[in-house]
Amino acid sequence: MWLPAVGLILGIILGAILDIRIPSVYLNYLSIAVLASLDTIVGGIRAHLQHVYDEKVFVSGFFFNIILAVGLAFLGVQLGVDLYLAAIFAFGVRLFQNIAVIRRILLKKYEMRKEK
Amino acid sequence: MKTKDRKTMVLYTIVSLLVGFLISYSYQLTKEESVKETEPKKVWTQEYKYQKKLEEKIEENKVFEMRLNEVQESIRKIEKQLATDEDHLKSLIETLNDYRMYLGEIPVKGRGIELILSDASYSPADGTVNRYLVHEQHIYKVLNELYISGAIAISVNQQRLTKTSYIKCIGPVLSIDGYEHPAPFVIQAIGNPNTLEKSLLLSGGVIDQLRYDHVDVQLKKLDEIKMDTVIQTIEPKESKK
Repeated sequence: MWLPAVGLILGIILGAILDIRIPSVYLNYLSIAVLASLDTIVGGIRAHLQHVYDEKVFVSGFFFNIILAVGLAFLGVQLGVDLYLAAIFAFGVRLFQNIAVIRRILLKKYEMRKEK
Repeated sequence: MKTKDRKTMVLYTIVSLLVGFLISYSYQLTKEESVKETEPKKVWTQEYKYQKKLEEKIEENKVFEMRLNEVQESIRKIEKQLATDEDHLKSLIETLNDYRMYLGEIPVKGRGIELILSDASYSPADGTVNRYLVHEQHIYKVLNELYISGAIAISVNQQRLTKTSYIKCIGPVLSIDGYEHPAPFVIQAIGNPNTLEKSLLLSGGVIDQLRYDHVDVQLKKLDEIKMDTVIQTIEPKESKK
């Protein structure tokens, strides 16, 4: 289990160190990608807690969501419609829902443990 | 099972790496962006501050400039006053000098003419010698003519005449302010030589009359005549008599 943790730390360090300049126009893409990845991770955790976790779904969803979100934002910029707002809205709502579900499950588990 | 586990681990590692990278990178960028945003603002506020300061200074400078102008104006006034005072003084001194010259208190020099009146060389034996001598009225005529034609200063035999000088016939000599002078009489007059000469040489004028009276007249234009001050300290000889 230590490899993913190392990967996380390495990623954080890379992101902090790497001095890649991207035009501020593409900052929206980045934020959406972050949101999509967070959403996928939270969704994965929820699925795991609900015992419906599928590794393929999680990994494919992770990349696909990011690409889709970024593509949507790109399309929105090209069309002059703020489509990235839709992505932010969708991911945001799902993020909150997933977190709410996780919270309930955790609460249930906690209460069950308490009853024991 | 083991290969699957490993695969999962690698996948998770990639995912976590990506997530970490995305988050930290995004954080980094947002931080820089906010710095970038605040920097121009800072610059702007600073610029505004300096602009305001500059305006204040300009305003102050205006006030100072106005004051400078005022001071300069007053200085100019004072200078003008001084200049006029100086001019006034200068002209005063000049007039004073002129008056002194007229009064004979200071020596004068200038262009002028010289007349030498001498008795006729011919002396008859019939007792009419008097008709061949220079008389006081001859001198008067010459002096009057000279004064009328603008002579500034006149001397007779080097004795300067003043406005109150008198010339008196005392026998064979003339007494000028108490000093006796024999013939020939050298009359020097400072003034415009041409004018003086012409006025004397008018036909039927002074010199004609003098010649008619057998007075020997020599006229000379001089470029420079020097005259001493009027002798005042010495007591007139005549009063001693």
